[in-house]
Amino acid sequence: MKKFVWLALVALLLIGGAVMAQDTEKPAFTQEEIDASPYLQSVLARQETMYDTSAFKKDGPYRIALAAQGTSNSWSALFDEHARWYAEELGTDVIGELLYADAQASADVQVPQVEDLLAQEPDALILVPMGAAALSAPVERAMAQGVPVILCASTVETDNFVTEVGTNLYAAGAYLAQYLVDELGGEGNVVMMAGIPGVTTSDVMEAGAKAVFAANPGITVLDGQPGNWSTAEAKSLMETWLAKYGDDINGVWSGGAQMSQGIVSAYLDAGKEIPPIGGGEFGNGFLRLALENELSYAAWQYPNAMVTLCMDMAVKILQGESVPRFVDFQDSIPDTQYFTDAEGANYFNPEWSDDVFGPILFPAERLESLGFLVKK
Amino acid sequence: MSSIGLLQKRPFNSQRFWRQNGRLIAVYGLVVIMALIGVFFTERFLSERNLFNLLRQTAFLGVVALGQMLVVLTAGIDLSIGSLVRVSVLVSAILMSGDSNNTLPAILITLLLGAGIGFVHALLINRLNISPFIVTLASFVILRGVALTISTSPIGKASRETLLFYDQRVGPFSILFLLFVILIVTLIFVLRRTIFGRYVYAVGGNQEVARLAGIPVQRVRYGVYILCSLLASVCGLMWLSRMGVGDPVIADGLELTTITAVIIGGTSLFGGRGGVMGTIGGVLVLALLANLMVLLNVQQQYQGLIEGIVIVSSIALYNQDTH
Repeated sequence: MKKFVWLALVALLLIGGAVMAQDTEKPAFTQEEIDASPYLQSVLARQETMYDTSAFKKDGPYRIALAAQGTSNSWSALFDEHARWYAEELGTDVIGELLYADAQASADVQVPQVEDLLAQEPDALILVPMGAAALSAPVERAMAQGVPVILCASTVETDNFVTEVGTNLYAAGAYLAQYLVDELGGEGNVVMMAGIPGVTTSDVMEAGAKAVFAANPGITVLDGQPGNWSTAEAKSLMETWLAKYGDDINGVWSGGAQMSQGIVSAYLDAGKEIPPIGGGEFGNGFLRLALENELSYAAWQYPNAMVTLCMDMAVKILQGESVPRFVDFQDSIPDTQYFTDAEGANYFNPEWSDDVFGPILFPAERLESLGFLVKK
Repeated sequence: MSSIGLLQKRPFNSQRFWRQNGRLIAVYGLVVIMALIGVFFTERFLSERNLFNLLRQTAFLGVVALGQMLVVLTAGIDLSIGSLVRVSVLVSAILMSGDSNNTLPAILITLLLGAGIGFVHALLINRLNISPFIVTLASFVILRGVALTISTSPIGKASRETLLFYDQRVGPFSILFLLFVILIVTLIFVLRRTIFGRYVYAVGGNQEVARLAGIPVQRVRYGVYILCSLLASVCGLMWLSRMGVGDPVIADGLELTTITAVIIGGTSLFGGRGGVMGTIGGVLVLALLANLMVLLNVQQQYQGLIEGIVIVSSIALYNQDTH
């Protein structure tokens, strides 16, 4: 009996120790990092806050407005298709009408479009903001009009909206950087290729990565330039870096898979061994390239399927359910976690064309009708 | 010819009437067709909120399109409008910094900046004899660079009054739209009833003849380029009241949109022909098109096609008229 008591005590101590050890690992960000990043402060605070939506409660079916980026690239085309598909899935007794506006990836176009959508008096507005500053006042006007705003895939400067669906971009940038630090054993030279300067997604990811590199004195950042989320510009920039630094580059941090494809292409043209890349995504083109060239990489995700979660949030809000002020899609949509080359093959789909960004929730026939399947 | 003959009323000549008014009839006919599409194919086109919004939106493009029209009437062009709107938003937002006391000085300095840039355009065209296309293209590039030098991310803040101004209304109309109407009436008066207005058409019609006739061609150019840039700065202030902050990425491609509106409205790119009502028609066509695209849930791949068809058909009507 004594034996069991002792064993039980030891087990309790071990569990307690493990729990305490877990507690000491949190928070994932240092206080210095949190203090230095208004974005991080905002996301962490909003993750813990619920929005009382009782003021927006009404009977369905609902008229939901979607101010989208528009079919300016494959990611946004699939985003729109997910929205159409999910509205059909929910049924007309839930979403009676899905109003849609195509911003052509421009804040200039989107600002008047949001005004046009609000003039139709929708029950809720799902907004993919094309500019954090430009869309702030329109978001405030929507809220003042009594239309709850759900930010989808990006954010705005004002805090006056109901909820935002996305992921912690700072954490994503940091994860990709930490992968390089671990791969290099804490010692080596890296180059950093960010997206478009001034765009929140790009700036915040870069800040997260920089914080990790700064915390690891063995890592030297040789250079950092924007690749503007363009495969061609990324290739050109990487060629310049290869000419300048040659084999001194031990790792590449990239803020997007389209740029990573350009980076890989530059290495292949130069006939050099490709170093570890912190910057993959669930993009079929990148995954194919990675498998063919046996790349070492870490990947994050920004799934176009997140619009389904945004629509869920809109419906919940209109049904009067309280919602978190920040919703991380990683917690709700399967297969949207970070991954590395070890799991890359599980994500690659040989039937998809290179420009498909997964996961895809709708049936393959819809993908085929959009021309996103490989022609046999 | 007898005096009785002179007093006799000239018989209605449909060919002459079409020649004189064909362009206006064509563009406003298009406006009516688009409005009817809105009425019959959408639920809320005629709602008070949508009409209020639509008219307010016409003011944004209309203000700069009228500036572009003045320049085009003198056979010139201004490619710097979008960049100047952008710089004006940034400068006014920084100067205001959210402080009500700074509102008036910020507005005045922004307008002075616009007028100054228009003066420089005219100075370079007059003194160095550089074509307006090259001068304003250079200005377009320089001002874009200036905007990005000021900031690559949102900066500054509108004062509370500036933000509230955007939603002000007089009766059922937005105050921005009413100010736009005042601008329209003023410009119609200036172009039709003043010497400056007649000079604008004369310079655009034939610059050499105008010069030989003693018209101060250079002064007319100063006038139209200063007015055009001034109106671009006004548009920048309107954007500030709409957004509340200075954003270095707005007004991209606005110069081309203004040229499109001017062309749809029947103003000749060679100068000397056209006017305010045609340009307003062009603005209404583009504003209605954008509004209907949203109301009808049109996908982007069709939007470009539809926009192209509307623009080409309206210009084709204009060309028909000129033959």
